[in-house]
Amino acid sequence: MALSRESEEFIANLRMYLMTSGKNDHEINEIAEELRGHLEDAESRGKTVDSVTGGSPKTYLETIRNEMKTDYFGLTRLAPMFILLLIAYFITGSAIRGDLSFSLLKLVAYPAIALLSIGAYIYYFRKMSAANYSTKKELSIFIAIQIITTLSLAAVLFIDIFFFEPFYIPSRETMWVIAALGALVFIAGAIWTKTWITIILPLFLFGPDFILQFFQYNETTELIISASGLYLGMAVVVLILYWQNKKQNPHKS
Amino acid sequence: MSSSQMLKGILDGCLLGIIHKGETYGYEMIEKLEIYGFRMVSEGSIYPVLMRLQKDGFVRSVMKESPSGPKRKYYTLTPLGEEEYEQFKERWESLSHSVNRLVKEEN
Repeated sequence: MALSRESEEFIANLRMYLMTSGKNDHEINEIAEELRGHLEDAESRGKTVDSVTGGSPKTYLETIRNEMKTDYFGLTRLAPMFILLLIAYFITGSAIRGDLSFSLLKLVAYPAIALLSIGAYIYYFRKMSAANYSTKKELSIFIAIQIITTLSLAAVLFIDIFFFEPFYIPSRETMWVIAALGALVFIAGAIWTKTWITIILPLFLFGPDFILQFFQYNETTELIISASGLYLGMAVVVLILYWQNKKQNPHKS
Repeated sequence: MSSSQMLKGILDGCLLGIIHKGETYGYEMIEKLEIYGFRMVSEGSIYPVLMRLQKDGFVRSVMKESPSGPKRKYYTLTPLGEEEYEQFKERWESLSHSVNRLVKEEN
């Protein structure tokens, strides 16, 4: 039986909230299934999702969260692959273009920015699943985080060029090896998370750079091709996510 | 103090009592509670309690497909749960006895 849009949203929010609170996947599925069953019974008798939450989804989600233990082991299990993917995203592009270098600033600042921005995303995902923000507000928060992250990365890059000497510049051959390792990490990540996104996204991010290595264009053309590849890729990813979401939640527009 | 606040402390015991009467699932527990006159229970509030009862080892649960309705999680009492229910009954007996004596004397 299909649930109403409000109930579907509540179940999705419950999953998101518990997931970002570091709860165990199996336990999340169990309570989500149980509440879905309850809502199906309740709706077939003319009740709404409020009969479950008592009118305050936030308080209700918190009560559920407090009854579940945090799955620290599950979180540490995710960490190594997560860190590998993060490193791969940072260095594969440069390794392909042949401008990879390591400086103290990059080594410290890049991971710090990445962690802060991921922390901000998780924080807001969690907040949004409990509170009822408008789509416009949700979107502006994510765009703001994205802009701040991009600006900080650009600032680091700028400062690095002018004030920091790289302590290690790999040879071109080493860079190709690093790029290949990066590709391997993306493939492993896709198999491990059983999602295609860690393959498609890098493909668009770094694919154009890779192809450009075999042609001689002037720098402006290269930049245009590389940037349009990136944005095309993001558009494709967003579209596919949108379709997937629509297929899973037929009530959500 | 509202009824639902008063009920908070004893809902654990009441649910043990409902499950004690036979294997049942969340929605059915609500319906049974209503038959006994518990209308102050917000339906969702039993699930955190069920989670706690399971964590404490008082109930065990099993997911079952139902031919007509949705997948349901059925609960039964463990021996530890039966014991806890007996103790709850004793505690309630003496507590309600005292409260009754107090409020009736006042009238």
